[in-house]
Amino acid sequence: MLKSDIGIGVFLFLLSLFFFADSYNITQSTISAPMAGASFFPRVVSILLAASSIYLIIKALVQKRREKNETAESAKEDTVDQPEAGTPNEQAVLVMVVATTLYIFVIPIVGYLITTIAFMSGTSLYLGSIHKKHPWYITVLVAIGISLAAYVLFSTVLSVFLPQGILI
Amino acid sequence: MVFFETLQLGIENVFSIGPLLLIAGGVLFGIIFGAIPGLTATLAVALLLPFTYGLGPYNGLSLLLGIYVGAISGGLISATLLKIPGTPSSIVTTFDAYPMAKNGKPLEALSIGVFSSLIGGIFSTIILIIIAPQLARIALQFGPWEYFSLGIFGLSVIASLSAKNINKGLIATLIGMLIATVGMDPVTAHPRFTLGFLQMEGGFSPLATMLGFYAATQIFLDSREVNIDTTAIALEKKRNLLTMPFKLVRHQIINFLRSSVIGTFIGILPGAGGSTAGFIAYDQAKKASHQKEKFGTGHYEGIIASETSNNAVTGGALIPMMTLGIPGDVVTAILLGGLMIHGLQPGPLLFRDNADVVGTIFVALFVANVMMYIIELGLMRKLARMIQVPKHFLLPTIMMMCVIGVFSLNNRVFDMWVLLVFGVLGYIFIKNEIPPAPIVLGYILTDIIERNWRIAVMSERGDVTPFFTRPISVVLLLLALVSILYPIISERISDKRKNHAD
Repeated sequence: MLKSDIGIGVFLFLLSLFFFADSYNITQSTISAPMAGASFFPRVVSILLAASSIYLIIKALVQKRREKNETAESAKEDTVDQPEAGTPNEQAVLVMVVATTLYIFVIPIVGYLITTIAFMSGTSLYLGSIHKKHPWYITVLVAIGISLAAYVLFSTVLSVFLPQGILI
Repeated sequence: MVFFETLQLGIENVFSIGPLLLIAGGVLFGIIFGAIPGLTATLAVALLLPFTYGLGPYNGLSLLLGIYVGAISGGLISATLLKIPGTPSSIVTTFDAYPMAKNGKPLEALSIGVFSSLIGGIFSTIILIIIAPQLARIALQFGPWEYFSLGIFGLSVIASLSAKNINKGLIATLIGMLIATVGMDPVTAHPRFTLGFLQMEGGFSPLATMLGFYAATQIFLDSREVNIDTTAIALEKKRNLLTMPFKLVRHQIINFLRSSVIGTFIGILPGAGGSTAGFIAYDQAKKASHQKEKFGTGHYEGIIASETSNNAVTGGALIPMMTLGIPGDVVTAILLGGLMIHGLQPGPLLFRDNADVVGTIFVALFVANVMMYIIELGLMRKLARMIQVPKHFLLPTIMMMCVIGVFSLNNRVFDMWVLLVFGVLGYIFIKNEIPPAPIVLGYILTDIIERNWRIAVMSERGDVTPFFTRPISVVLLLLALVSILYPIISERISDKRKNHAD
């Protein structure tokens, strides 16, 4: 679903278009040489990126057409497309992204400790559930242990600024 | 004489209880990270970087260098026992170390690997100590033209080496460069592409960008594979490991030396890392060997070539980073960040103004290599068990450390979001074969390239001919052109051959 040269090419082309257009909003200082200005460099880079993403799109389109011709010839031969045992679990990525989003969203409000324990327990339980290696309370205990150990390490040994909220 | 003073300062700074403990801890942490498949040397160094801020420059650098050395070497453990390179630089180690382990000699394979790591590491450290001060002296004469061309050369090598398809390598580099232009411009401090947000004026912070594209992306990739079980070869229960490989040294001096030189040289080159060095050294060792047919079946010469060369990369890669301020790969880009958070600017002036820091790096790197040998061999049985550590605890912990680390450096909530967004983008890019290394290096080098371009153009009132008339500058630009055109041309040629064969 996420794998498409055409999709990526279009996205990058639009991105470089935006950068090129927005480079006209940069306040120019009165330096005499235009090639030494603040907008010259981003403009060159965005033009190059636009060019290479167009090339990417064209190449992908050509390949697609070629494959279509080839598959038309050999369509009946093999349509086996079975996932193998132990294949990568794409759903896990989504869960990790959502969990991290929530974590970053909540941590400035609630603070480090509670949020981290919740994040660690939740994601460990989910990732561990595929394995079913040990009962859930062991997983939660380990997650709490890691969060506390990290808290002690961060705040004492490494003197790190931790996000602080209404709870620690 | 300055040379010895530098080393003396380094010895004074490193040989006290704090730095030594930190190096040992870093080496151990690095070995574990390197040994666990899916966790790379880059990730290990990046993850701990923000936490070194509170340690001060000597302690912080000792820790980071320990991790770097440990992680590059640690990859051999899983390469030997799992046939999975623990870190990309030990891909070639799997060719011979795994078959040897499978033939019932895992301990021998591991101890040859660790010993080779030591030789490669020490050799390149010595080269670093000898060459870096000389190069720094030459680099003092570089003007903005040379720095611009060096940056372009670095990017061209990275773009052409890191992707199968040069266009995608170029795209990745350009993405990194565009990301770097957000925020205040490096010369006149005009805000660019901020969309009116005040938070964007600082740009995307280097740490959030690097951890996003490297660490967060890696965690997303790894989380797909938590359910895949691997089986490791068990170690045989017999005698100590320390004595074994010494017999080989006498017969293999040439191999050790050749692989060390290849590794160090590849390390100096921008863009090419441990895995490239491993492939070249392995290939050369095979060509020179009397027992060519044994390569790939568990032959010690292959392990020596691979592990010596990939560890020799460490010292080599530090040379351009320290003397020119131009990182050759992502790990050294992160180490560069490790210097910068303490207000140190790598480059030729570092050697003149901060001899203490330079000396500390030299000595710490040397000590780290020795400690790596002792720790890795001494704890091998424990480490061998650790490569199958439960990932469902590991991945959340690393993600948590990324988020906290990114936040703690500047106390900005915005940086955490940058980490996440770049992590997701990096994941999508990797799915489409757009590699993260050129993105990160494009991002890092853009500051040097743009700043020097503009200073150079301004100083000549808009005249760009000095880029092509100054000898070092023009040679570097030509090399850049070659490294971009070479893969395109060779691709064309091989395409044509294929068509002919059809």
